[in-house]
Amino acid sequence: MQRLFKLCYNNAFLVIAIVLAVTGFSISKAFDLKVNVSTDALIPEDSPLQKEYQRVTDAFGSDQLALVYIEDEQLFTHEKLTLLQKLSKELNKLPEVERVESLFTVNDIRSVNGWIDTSPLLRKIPKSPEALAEKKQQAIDNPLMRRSIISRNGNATLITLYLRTADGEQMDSDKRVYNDIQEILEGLKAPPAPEPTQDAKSIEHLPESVRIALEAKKKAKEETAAPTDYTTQFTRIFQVGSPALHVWMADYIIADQKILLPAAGLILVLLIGLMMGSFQAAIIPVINAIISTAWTFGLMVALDIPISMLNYIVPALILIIGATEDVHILNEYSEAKGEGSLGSDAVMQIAHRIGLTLFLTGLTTTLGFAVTGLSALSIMQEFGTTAALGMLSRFIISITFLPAWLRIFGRFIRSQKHTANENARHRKVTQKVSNLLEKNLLRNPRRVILVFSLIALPCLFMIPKIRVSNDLISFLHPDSPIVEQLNLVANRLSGSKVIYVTFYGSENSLKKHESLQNIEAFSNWMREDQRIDTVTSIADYIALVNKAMQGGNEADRHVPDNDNLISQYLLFFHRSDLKPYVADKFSDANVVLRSNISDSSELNTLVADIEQKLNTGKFGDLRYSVSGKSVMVAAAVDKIIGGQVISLASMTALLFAIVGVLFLSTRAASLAVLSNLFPVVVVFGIMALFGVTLNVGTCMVAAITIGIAVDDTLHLMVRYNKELKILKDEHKAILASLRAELFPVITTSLGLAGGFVILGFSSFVPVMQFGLLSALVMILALLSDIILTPVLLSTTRLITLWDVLGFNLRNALIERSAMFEGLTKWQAKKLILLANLEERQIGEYIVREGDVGNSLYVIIDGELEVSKTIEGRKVVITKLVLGDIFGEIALISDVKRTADVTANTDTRLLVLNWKALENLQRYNPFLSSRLFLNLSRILGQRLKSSLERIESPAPFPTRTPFKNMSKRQKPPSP
Amino acid sequence: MSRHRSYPYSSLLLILGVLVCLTGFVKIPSKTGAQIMDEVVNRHKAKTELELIKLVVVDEEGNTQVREMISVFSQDDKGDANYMIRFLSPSDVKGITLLTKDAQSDDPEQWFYMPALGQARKIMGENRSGYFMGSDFTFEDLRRENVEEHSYYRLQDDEVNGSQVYVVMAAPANVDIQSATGYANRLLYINRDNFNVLKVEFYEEGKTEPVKVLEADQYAEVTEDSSVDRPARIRMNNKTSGTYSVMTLMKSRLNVPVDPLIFEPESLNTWTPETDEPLLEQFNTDS
Repeated sequence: MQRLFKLCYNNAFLVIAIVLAVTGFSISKAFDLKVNVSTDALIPEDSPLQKEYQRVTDAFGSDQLALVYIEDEQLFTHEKLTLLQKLSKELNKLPEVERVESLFTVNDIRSVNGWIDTSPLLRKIPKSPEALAEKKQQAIDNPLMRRSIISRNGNATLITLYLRTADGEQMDSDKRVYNDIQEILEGLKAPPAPEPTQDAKSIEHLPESVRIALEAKKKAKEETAAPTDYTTQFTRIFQVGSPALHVWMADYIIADQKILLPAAGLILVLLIGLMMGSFQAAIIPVINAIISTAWTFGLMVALDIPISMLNYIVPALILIIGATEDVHILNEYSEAKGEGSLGSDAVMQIAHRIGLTLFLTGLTTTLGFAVTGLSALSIMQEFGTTAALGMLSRFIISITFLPAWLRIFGRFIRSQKHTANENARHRKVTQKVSNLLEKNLLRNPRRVILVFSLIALPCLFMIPKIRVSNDLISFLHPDSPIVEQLNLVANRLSGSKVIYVTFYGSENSLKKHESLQNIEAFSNWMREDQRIDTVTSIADYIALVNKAMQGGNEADRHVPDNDNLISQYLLFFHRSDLKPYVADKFSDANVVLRSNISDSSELNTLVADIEQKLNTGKFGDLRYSVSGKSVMVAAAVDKIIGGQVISLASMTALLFAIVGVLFLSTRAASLAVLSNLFPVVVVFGIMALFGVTLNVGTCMVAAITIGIAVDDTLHLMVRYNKELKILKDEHKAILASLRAELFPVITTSLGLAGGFVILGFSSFVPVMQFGLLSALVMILALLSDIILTPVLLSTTRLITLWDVLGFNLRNALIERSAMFEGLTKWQAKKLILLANLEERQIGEYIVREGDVGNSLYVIIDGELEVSKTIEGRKVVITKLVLGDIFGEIALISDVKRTADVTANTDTRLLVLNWKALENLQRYNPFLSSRLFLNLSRILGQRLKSSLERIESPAPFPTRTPFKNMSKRQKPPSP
Repeated sequence: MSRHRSYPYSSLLLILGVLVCLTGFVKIPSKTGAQIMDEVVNRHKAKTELELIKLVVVDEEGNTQVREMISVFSQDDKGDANYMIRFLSPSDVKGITLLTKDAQSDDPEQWFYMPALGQARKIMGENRSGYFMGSDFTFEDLRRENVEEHSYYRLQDDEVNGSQVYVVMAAPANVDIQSATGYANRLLYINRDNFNVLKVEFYEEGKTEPVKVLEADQYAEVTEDSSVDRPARIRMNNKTSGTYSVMTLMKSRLNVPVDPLIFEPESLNTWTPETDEPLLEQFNTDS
């Protein structure tokens, strides 16, 4: 890292030129970036549901609708209907339209003078008001038209366009359809040049009168072919449906990006600038974010990834995490400068101090988001890839561009020493917080943990109450005209969500009355459901013919019991009339449900209800399926949540692994994870409390939370690890790391929170929620990082001891000391971690004969002397060195200290007390049994030596050269 | 004289019409529309006509439905015509019959018989623009053309599949017809050499493109009975729905005697599958 920093610093202009060139190239490419907010991306590819959907739509046609709503008090006049017919025909000509349902196309099955007429209601538009009024009533009375085509009062109608499955990008096709429809409605679409038809040719053989008549006719035709601005012709006319919704959504997203992101960025710059007291510190994160975003966009184009409902947040993500990193870097730079380093030295200092952290955060965030991409949902794949690319770009720019930038502009950054004022404030804030921590919080860790737990626990219980929902409509502000239009159409006519319930039988089995009556019963059951607007099936067509054939009584509108009669009724329909409802060869039938449910969880419930009812066998035992794009999207919402869980889990696992490796301690890793989960738990709890649903927008908050929390935690932990090695005291190390990291953490957290609050002004609900929740997360992560993490760390003896001992010493100790006999390295470590480290100076007493004590000591450094006062004179019994143990008798048996132990040199000791051993017994019986075995052996050995000594002529020799003895033959100790 | 099978060939247009009064004052350099139609009708005339037809309805996906039907037409000396169409297959629709009696003096009368319903129903009034039995043909496409109902205008000659054709426009002659018919006008493309109709375009009000196009091909003489040409295949393309229907003439007899009983509505109610046997036999007997 240092070398890279130096390289970039030395070749600053080259690096900047390369970065700018890549950026320029990326920006030029970024213009090709597509926006895709279609729900297709929510559907897992190759899922059984998708295959079923493919099969059903192949057989029965598309379930994707675009609706044109037309309302006019004078709708049923010749003039208006003629216009409407022209509109219907123009719409039908659009290449994306598979079929059109309108007053002019849907079968109006009725008895006409004894004959059954199944031709469309308005195949010809009558002129007389009476005939028109009759047609209007016929339309309202027709169950195939009521609500799906005509409103109950007859002055609003829908032209329903069934859209072809899009080739290639769904969004391109949505946009095209939307624009095409809009152009037709507004009369902007130039009609195709009328082909010269025969009657337009020169009419040489005709008499003058005929010629004039034909010319007039030709002129009339040209007039009707001219585009009409339909918006001026009816009281209300507009389009709704999935293309419109998707286009509106994309517009919303883009509009938000255009206004709110710069505004949020500006706030961020101002806040950070003010707090850091440096303009540069404020703009560097923004410049970095702009460059990284440009790179990411360029890469997205190269990988053919569109902007979607999820990954449009990536620029914000880059800004957030990038800002944190950059502020850290600048803070270090400024400190390094303050300490007197200049130029490349200062830059090298940055790498030296936080190079590892930079690398680790870059790795964690990149991998963490990349893991999110391991999803069956393409929208998640795209998000994962985009976010990972963003994080990678940001990392690369931070470690290459920034050193180069500092070469040129670094001189303008004030060093912390020289700027007395700023420094004063900087120090004041830091001092205040660290004082608070030192004096109050760190001393009362239980109280702090209790407070955090009291906040987190209720939230934890609230989490299961979060509603998972993907409701595109709810993304829009309730007052927006789009929502008003959608509700109007749904209330007066029907919604645009289509659900297909398909029944599978054998060839011609759907011509049999039993099957058809079951379908009829099912349709009637569905009609009673308030959630469903319209229900249409083949049974309705047959029932209508039956009614007409039996004399027009409503009582006869049902499927008759006679199979041949049904076959004969079916002759009244053109094959294409029935295509949406029955498959070729009458083996499968399709019940088409229309509803206005936009909430995915409501839709899932509906589907479950339908399946449950069908499983009862009440409507026959034909195999069935419930399908449709909206059904698939709703089912896929679970996957998004799954994706979020994966994202959270993987980031957490990475954090755990990194901290675990850094401190060689699962405990430290657990603590780091625990303090990171705090903001996540609280945010989700608050979401549950305020009824914010977990949707494609808000679920990103979790990703942001973890990203930012991991980043801050890593900075703190890496620093803590370093400080520990230097200071060898947790409290001091914590305070020192906090002092160093506090200011950048507070600065970026507050700056980002301020920026996110701006997004709360968005009219696009997910962005609004995202902004506010993210701001909350920033504050929570800040609290967690500067209070919870230090407090948790302070309650735990980390690897300090293990670390402090150092590799060689550790090995020597474990090798030599009888305490560690037969223990694995991991067990030895556990044991060492249970102990405290004590340092004694030369001449100091460690234990006094006759004292009460409950500690055992292991010598790790220095030499001690064991002595007894016998008959008023001090007799040195033995000397102790590395690995030797003393104090175990008082520890285990309830006796007083049997000798004095004094330090002959400066000494370091491992101190193990009874309480720790009790804990060990409870939580680690294997280790403790081994330990007690070792202790017993030591005691036994001591007994043996004592006996030997008593029997020997000189019971208290001045020195025992036990170093050369085996461990089990060690001399006694007090 | 397959009148039920529309005017594109033979029976559609009888004698000349209203055009005479329009053209009477002007010198016409060559054949008028009416004269052309006159020739068309005369060349394809037959007294009775017996046909075995395969009707294939094809939807926009290419799925097909096949039906077989027998069609009988007869016209007496007074010009009163009778038509009967009966389905022979598939078995579940076998026996469905549409009977039309079109007397010169009166409005046409129609009866409809469904074996599963058991009793023939008289159909009152007209249903010209309704589709015939789920095909792309409407009833009026299958009706005999009443020349009093149309005016014929000759347009500039053209070419169809390499053949030189007359182009004749047929338009409703009066407001009543105009409101009953489904079309604003039709363009007929008639082979100049033999007056066989090769193509018909159907236009709706205010449209510059046809809603339907009929193509007739494989004209051949029904040699055993006369030297009258009949197309072996007629295809109706529905430009609106993207579907089409093909009528294939499998067997045909002209000017053979037809039992007048089969045109009696009462006889419909006693229909059994055996009823059709004598009719079917006639395809195999010599005239």
